[in-house]
Amino acid sequence: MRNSGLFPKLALQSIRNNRKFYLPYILALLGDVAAIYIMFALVRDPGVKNITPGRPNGYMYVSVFMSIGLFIAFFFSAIFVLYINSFLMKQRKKELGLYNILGMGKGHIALVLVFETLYIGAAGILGGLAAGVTLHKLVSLTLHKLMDMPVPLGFYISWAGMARTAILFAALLVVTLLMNLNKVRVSRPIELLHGGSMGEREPKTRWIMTILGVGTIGYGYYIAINTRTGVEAIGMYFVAVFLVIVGTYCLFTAVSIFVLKALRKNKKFYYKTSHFIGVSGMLYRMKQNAVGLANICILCTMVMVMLSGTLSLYLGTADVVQEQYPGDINIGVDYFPAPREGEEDWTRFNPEAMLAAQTGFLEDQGVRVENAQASYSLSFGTGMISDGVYTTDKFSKDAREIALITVITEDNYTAATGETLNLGPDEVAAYNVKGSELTIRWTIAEEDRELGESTFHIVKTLRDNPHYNPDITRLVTVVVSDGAVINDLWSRQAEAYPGNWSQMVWTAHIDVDCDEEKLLEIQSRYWEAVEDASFYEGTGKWLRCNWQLRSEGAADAYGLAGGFLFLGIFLGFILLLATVLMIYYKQLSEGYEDKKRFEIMQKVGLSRDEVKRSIHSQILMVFFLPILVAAIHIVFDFNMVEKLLTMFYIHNTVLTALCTVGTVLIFFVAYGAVYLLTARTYYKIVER
Amino acid sequence: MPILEVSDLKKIYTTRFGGQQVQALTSVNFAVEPGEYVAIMGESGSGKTTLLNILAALDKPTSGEVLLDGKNIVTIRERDIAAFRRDHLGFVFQDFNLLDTFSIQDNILLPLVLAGRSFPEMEKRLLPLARRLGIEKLLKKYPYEVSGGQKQRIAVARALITEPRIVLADEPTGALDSKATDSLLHLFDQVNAEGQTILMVTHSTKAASHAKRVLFIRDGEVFHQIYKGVSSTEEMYQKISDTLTLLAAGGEEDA
Repeated sequence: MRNSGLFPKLALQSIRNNRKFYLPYILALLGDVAAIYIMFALVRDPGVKNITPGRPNGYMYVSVFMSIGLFIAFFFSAIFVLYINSFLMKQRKKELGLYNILGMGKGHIALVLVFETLYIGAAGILGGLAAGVTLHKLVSLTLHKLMDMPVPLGFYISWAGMARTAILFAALLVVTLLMNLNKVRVSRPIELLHGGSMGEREPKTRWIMTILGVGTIGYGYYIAINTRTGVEAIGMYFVAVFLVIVGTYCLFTAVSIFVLKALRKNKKFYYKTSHFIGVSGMLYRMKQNAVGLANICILCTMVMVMLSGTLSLYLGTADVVQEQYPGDINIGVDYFPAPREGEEDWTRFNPEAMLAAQTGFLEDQGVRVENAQASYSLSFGTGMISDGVYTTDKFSKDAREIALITVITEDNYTAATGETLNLGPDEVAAYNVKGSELTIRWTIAEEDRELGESTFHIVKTLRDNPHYNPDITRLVTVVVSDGAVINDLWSRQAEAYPGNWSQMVWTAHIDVDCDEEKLLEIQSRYWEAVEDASFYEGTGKWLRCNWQLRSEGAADAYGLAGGFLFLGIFLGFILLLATVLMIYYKQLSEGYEDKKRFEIMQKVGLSRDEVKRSIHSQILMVFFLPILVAAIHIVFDFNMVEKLLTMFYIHNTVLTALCTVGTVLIFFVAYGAVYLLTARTYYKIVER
Repeated sequence: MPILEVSDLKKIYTTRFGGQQVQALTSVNFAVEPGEYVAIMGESGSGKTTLLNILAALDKPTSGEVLLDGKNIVTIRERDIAAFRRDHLGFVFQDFNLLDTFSIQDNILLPLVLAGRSFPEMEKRLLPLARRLGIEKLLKKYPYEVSGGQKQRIAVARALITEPRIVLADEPTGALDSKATDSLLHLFDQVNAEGQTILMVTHSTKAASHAKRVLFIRDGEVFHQIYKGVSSTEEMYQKISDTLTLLAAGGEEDA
């Protein structure tokens, strides 16, 4: 037989005839391939390692993130390709049935499918790799800009990355092909031919799922709202996400039907022109589209959470750097103000001598010290019995939660904020305490021994935390009149926590008149200098001394935040691609379904405009329901994201809120644009 | 005064490409009196579908008049047409055209809901009508749960619920088996006997033999007509058969 060219030709023809379905599929495949290749290339790009020779740079975060992100991204791509493939096969049942009836054996149909997959794979994978190689440079430039790093030179192509991407997606397509072949094998032609024209049953109210949906979403929201600390947020985040995802599926599949049926029962409401068509139409739409809409809703939520979270992190980093590294050079010393048991030749830590040693060294290096500020603080954990009453018996049954109390002096507070308080020895200014009294009960938990209590009058409640720590537990900050009060508190807590004292922390921020390159040089000489014991002469006893340049801290922070933002954008892109395509295919299938309904209504006496308006409002509802629900999810999720961000020292609620609102708005606009573009396809089908 | 008066109706289609003109209706003239039951017969391509579409205000003629109660429906403004159709005309189609997303009751009520009537009024009309048509037990069901004959009865109920001036039926028996056909035609007889004017387009000699008058259309013109008068349905059937044979043989008008 000389028809070996027939099957490739048939396959090509069928792709061309179904281009309304296949073109977006191929384009999405192409986008996914390009994204995955770029991730591979970013992990392997050798250029970036040489930007800052000999020193680690923020890029290591990207390598780590991308190698994890790769799996997540491919996982989503795979799910999404499988989803679209099954949708396409459903649409094409009729065509394949026709081939069968026209005398093609199942083997021949399989051959056509093989060639189709081959063409789609070739177009998607080769095109995607080409796009990936081209876009990689652009993406890499953006990334370095985000991470505030110098730009690497040259044009890099990762052959290994290409090979891996190609293999991954080829394997994925082989899976889709096998699934399709299996579907053809088990099908009967008459079924294929009749495809989707089965009788429609009215959807049933599913009570259990309705209750489950309301319950899981409610509980998920409850967890999200009541998360108080970053640690809780990390622990409970996935629990809440899981509950809300389950709830979303139930919401779309069962709760929606429940509500619509309730509306239908209300005769006065239901038998009105606009409600009549809308409610019954929605009832059937929800039955067929519930899962798809829930998918879209969840994808939208994920994209928005990811983008707003990483954006807040990135934009908040400037503040974090300023807060954590206020000086060009930042020095931290941990010390005890008393000798430990059996400790010989202990001398008190001398902050003045420490600061003098540091500034003296810098001046010896020929650098002018412009500003040097020192402060100290004490932090210790307690159990909170009620707002304003704390105990050192952290795990006693009276304690509701752990509270970290940080104590600073008025001098330090004034130096930082410029505000004077004129506190007396029993007076404090406090952050995160309600009421006018602050009491700390000193108890040795192990021995159940009471050591009395310390009580202060709160003369001022602070709105902002003057001493920020990660929000691991409840944070209480207390400003006291002077160092004597801190020292006294230290002694009391040392007594209450025998052998488990909290350290005092002394910090100094030094601004110098010197460029960054010189500073790096000085830093390496500093580490040599401190090898010599005479450097610290006269500073007394301390545990650890830390030296950190702001530029290095900033590079690290921007590396982390930029890496996260980049990952957010990348995964966001892949999920968005999935969302757009799902909307498009939904519009197509809705269009074919509505065509017939549209005709009948016109015959029975609905005007063209009325039909159009009614269908338009239903379609709007169907497509904007997911994003509306997603927006509600985001509102409830906000508290949790905010608490999670505190783990990265971000505590600017206003900024996080702005980033979230901004992301949601932009997403709504983008979603609307996608909707309008795809709605044209819908109207073309319905109006023909 | 006739309820429906058609005079010198002409329809010329221009094909989309090449601008070739096809004359679907040359010159159609006839009138329907109140309470009449008229069937229009003709071969495929004779122009009867075009005629029905114009009567139903779904299509506009090239020239000529269609007067319903003395009002020319050809000149009704585009945006008033839908309301006009649902208030004055009832439709029964070959393929029923029931909406599968509505229960039987809601399918019947559809035109009233579209017209913005109150629910108590709908209920008042629905129950007696359903009882008359023998479908009161089906009201809560859905179209996929009932038979073809039942579907067509439901479609008739939908056409009658607005109390239209005239019911237009397009091949109403075309998709029914012979038992359901008999039952539907019997229903039409009964509805007509209660005073409802019916205009039916059909291929079926059996369906046409139930009408009080049959119009034959050929080449876009009313070619011939037969009155039932006092003859029985069987005699009418014979007359129609004879006329159709004559028409097929290409005979000239002899009436």
